[in-house]
This record gives sequence, C-alpha cells and structure tokens, in this order.
Amino acid sequence: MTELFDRLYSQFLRGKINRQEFRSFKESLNHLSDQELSERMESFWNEHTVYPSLEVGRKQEIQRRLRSQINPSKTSIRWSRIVAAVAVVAVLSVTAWNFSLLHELQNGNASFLAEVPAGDRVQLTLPDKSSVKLNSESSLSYAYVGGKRIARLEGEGYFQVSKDTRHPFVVQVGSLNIEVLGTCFNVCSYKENDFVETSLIEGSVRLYDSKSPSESIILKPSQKAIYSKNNGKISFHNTDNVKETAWIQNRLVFESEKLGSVFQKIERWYGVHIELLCPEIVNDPITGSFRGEQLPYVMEALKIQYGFDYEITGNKVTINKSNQLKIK
Amino acid sequence: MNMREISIHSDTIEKLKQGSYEAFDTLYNMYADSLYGFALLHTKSAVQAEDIVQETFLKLWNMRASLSVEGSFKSMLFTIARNHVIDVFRQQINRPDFEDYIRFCEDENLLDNTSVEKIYYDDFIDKLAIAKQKLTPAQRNIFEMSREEGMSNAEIAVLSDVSEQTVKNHLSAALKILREELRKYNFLFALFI
Repeated sequence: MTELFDRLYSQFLRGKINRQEFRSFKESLNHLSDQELSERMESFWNEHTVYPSLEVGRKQEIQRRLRSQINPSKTSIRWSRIVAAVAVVAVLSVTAWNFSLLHELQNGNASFLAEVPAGDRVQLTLPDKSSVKLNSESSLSYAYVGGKRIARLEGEGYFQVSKDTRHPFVVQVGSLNIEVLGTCFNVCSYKENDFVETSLIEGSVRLYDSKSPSESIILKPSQKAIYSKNNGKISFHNTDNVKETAWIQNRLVFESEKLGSVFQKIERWYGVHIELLCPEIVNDPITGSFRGEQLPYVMEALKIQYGFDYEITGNKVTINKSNQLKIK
Repeated sequence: MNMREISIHSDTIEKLKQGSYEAFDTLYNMYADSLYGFALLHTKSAVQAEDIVQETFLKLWNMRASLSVEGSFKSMLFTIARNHVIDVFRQQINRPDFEDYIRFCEDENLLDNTSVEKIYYDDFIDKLAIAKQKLTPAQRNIFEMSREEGMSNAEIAVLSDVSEQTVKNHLSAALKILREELRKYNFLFALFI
C-alpha cells in the first residue's frame, strides 16, 4: 500500500498521472494518516530544490500584504505611495528584476525613484501613464515640478511619453535636457561614456543644455543626437535605430565593436564582473547579436570565435588565453 | 547545508527573534519561492499556494520568539507550513471536479506537447466555466450537481425526478461536449505559447 502510494505521489506531483492511477492515489491518500503523509512530504521537501517559481510581481504583492499584517501602524504612511508605484510596475514587468523603490521629498513634491540593479531590465508606468523601460544599472526619478513632468535618468532608458501638451515631459541627464512633445525615444547615458546618446523613434524632441537653454536643437525621427559631457556640444547622426533599441527586445547587438567594450556590455547585461587576464585582445572587433541567451551560451560563442578560455564562478568571469594557443 | 549558510541563518533568525523586519524580508526572499512551488505541486492551485505562503510567513512572524537558532531553517519552515498544506492538499484531491481536471491534464499529456506550460486547477475551472455555456440547461444542472456538489447519480435522479439512466445519459453527453470545448482551448493555448 505505502509503496504504491509513494509511486503515485511522485507521479501526481510531477503531473504525470492518469485517471485510474489518480483514483488509487486518492483512495490510498484517504487511508493515510496525517503523520505518515507528513513524513513523505518532508522527505520530498528536503530532497527537492527545483520548483515552479513564484512570479516576481505576485511575490512582492504577498510581501506587501505580510508587511501590513505584521506592522500595520508604522508602514501605513510610508508604504502607501510606494505601493501605488509598485503595483503598476508589477503588472507590466517584462523580465526578472529586483526593484527597489524609495520615495523622497523634492521641493516639497513627492516623487519616486526606480533603481534597476545590474543584470536586470524593468518596465514601468509613470503616474502620467508614460511608459519607460530601464536597462541594467539605471535609475529614474520622476516628479511634477513647476507644471513640467521631470524625469531624471542615469544609465539607459526607452521612453514612450503620453501626450499632454500643457505639461511638457523633460528627461534630464546631468545638465542636458531632452524636452518631449509626446513621442518614443531611447536615451543612453552610462557613466563610463563621455557622451549621452538620444535616438528618436517617433515624434520629436528638443534638446538643450541647462547652462544655455536658449540654444536648443530639435531632433527628427531616425536621427540621433550625441551630446558631449565634456564641452556640452551636440552632434547629429542618422540611424535606423536597430542597434539603439535592441536591448528593449532583449537583444545584445554588436556592430564592429571592440571586444573591450563588448565585455563591458556583457558585465552590465548579466550583472557580472569580467577579469581579463589577456588584455591584448581588447581591440579585436566583433559583429554579432544574441537574443535572450544565458551567459554561458554567450561566453561559449565568443570563446569559439576568439579562442580564449573562460571560467564562470558566481558573479565573476575570468578570461584567459587558451592553453592550446600557449602551446603554439 | 554548508557552514556559511548555517551562520547566515543563525544570525538572521537571531535578528528575527528580536523583531527585525529586515531579517523577516531576507527569509521571505530566500524561501517564498520554494514554499510556493512545493504548495503548488500539491494543491495544483496558484491561489491556494499563495495563501499557504502568506499564512506560513505570518505564523513564522507570530511565533518568532519561540524559534530555535540551532537547526535548519528549511525544516522549521516545513513544520510551520505542514498542517495547512496537508489540509488543502486533501481538500483539493477530494473535490468532485478534481478528477475531471486530472482527465483534462491526461488528454493534454497525450497531445505530447512537452514544452506546453502546465495548466493548473484554477485555470481549468476558469476554462470549464466558459465551456459550460455550450451545455443545455438540463445537462448543465446535472453536471453541476454531480461535479460541484458531489452528488451521486441516484441522488440526482431523485432530486430531478428522472431515471438514473437519464442522469447517466445527460452526464455523459455533457462531459463529451465539455471535453471537446476544452480541447479547443488547449489547442489555442498551445498555439499562443
């Protein structure tokens, strides 16, 4: 009887049980004491480590409910605003992410700050219904200041701004202002780059430096503006936007890019640290793209092309010359 | 469990005992997924599994003072969750329509869509509610008495003032229609993934 139960129990958990087997399973379960059942469950619990996972949004929702249950007085005010923001985010999230939301008081106006840790990408909806995708290691704060919708960006973001001509939407990166007139565009402003790249997909945007707001430039679709952080100058380029917006489709794209910069992108994309023990390869050019691949797959593909060896330990990737090359 | 894990846990549990919300969050973030998955495999219901997670962590908080710093946290969590999981598991298995759900999964497995996402009991009930619209009022009435209230064919016959054979005929006609309807959703479901 118990042997039969054990077999059917395992089949049931794996979802591989037919009608007849289910009837015997139900029968033997109904004859099994809670004590005996508990023992079997416990050994399954101890041996098993891989389960269907809890969706991130649901996990946070349960955590929020628990917080209000265990600490009703303290959390009520502080959480109310944050929760409203988390709720919209949870519905729209596209990928696994750890999302930390803080709220701050800025000029007496409540705003919110979204921070995306390394290796994650997040989609969120702002209170004005504009939608923003944030790339790995980026942050965005949003506030309503002096009749304008102000979003301060660090890192990279893709914006679809809801139309509201009476309340301009301004993305601020350092002293660069990108004023939006209802549109869709990508801004890349990572710290290690000495430029900010704004690529326009639809509509139009106006760019100006806070230091000289009267000198503004209007960008048209399929154009990108490169703003130099050093001298505040803005230059124009044509673009098909393929490379600029690849990240929002979960694609990593390289076009004759130096391996050194490719490694930087991989570090950010997967939230890892790469230690390069053979720096002579940093200037080798590479062209290619990856779509939604796991890190080992990407490393394996690069290894085949460049003949290096690599080792992944936790968050660290060590790259070294291949042994075969050394022998040569 | 290795040494490092043990020391992280005993620190965290010590903090939890003193009422640290941070320690509570740490344990929730580490274990909510496993507990949810474990409950889901047993109950086949996301709603029930989420409820088990919430209740278990609430109990953990309420009994934090009596927790032992020694020993495995994973085992402690199981002990807290156990009775709730057992109750819901037994209750689900004995639902009159659970066997229909198993049969639905069986049909699906036969299609051999190995990569198709698992359909859980809740989804099945939702789909069934739509499929039931295809039944005649008599078929629907008898199907609900049988599957939702768990009445026997003889009981239904007495209540509806028809013969037991008529009940059987209505039921098998209803099941045939529902199975065909559900198969359509199955097919659509497979296409959309």
